Amino acid sequence: MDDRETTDRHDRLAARLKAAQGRRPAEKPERPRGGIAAGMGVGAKVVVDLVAGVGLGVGIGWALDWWLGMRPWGTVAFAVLGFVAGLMNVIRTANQADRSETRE
Amino acid sequence: MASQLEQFTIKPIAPMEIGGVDVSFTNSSLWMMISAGVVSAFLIAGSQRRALVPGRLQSALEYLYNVVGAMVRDNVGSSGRPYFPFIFALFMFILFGNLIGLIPGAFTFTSHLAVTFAISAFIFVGVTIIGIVKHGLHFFSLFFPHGAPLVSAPLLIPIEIISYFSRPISLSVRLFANMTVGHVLLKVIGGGVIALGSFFIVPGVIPFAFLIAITGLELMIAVIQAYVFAILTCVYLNDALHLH
Repeated sequence: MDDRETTDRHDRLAARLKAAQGRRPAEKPERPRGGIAAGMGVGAKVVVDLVAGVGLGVGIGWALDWWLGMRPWGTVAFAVLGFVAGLMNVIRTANQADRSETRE
Repeated sequence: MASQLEQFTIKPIAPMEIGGVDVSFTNSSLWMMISAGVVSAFLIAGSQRRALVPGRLQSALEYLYNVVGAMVRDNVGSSGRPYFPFIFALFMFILFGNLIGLIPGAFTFTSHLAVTFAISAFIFVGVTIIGIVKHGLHFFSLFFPHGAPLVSAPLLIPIEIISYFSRPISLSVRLFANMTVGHVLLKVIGGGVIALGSFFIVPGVIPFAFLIAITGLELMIAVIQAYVFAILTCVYLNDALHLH
């Protein structure tokens, strides 16, 4: 069985499933899944993202300083950039969580 | 009393050296093999009967399969289908590594940054290569948010690059830190049980009750961290395939 055939079969099955689901009477909306566990997962992700951004920024800055001999300016600049990068990761995660919340 | 960090020491079982590099078979490698072996045994045993009405083992297997399947579908879409086997293997390996590590006396290989970073670096490099192969030079548009004013490029591009390169770090540090902290905590409270219990039996009961609660929490964290690791791999894969 080659790859294309598998994909075809998947697509046909998906179409049949969709048709079958359309015939089924509408169910009550499923209650939000995950709850506390999913929340903890997101929390752990956000904290480490923030710290990793700053850490990597400081690391790059430190290396540049050592290489170019301009201590401490590289470290200062890249720590700030790293902080912003970490913050952007956090904001992205939050936006994603918002989107999936409104979808459900 | 032994140090709380002693549980993380790597002990060579079969010392080996290739070209001056220490490649000994250690307790870490042993528990990785055990974990991979348990996963394989579970998968093979669970899929033996292929009953229409699944038994316990088959149900557990189908549940895990569905969890990862839904994860890949929701985060990557149908174009993520070819990568399902990798994500599933990754999830199972880490999940069983975390869970087996909670057995007293076992070694938790996921509590070593070397291991988690090796996994996440592999994912990072792999995902980047997939992105470049799929999109060519267009892949680098990932580093410039769509619709941002061109003047902001000198500031935004370094930020995006740092943000991109911080991914393998946060991915590996998260798993490693969670497992290490959990195991140290268990050991510290376990030490408290012995210290207080040997002094007088009643006060020992309090940290023991606490230890039981923490063990439950650690069980949950072991599962959550494996799940988070796999889901973030999906998210990164999605970025590489669809360039947000």
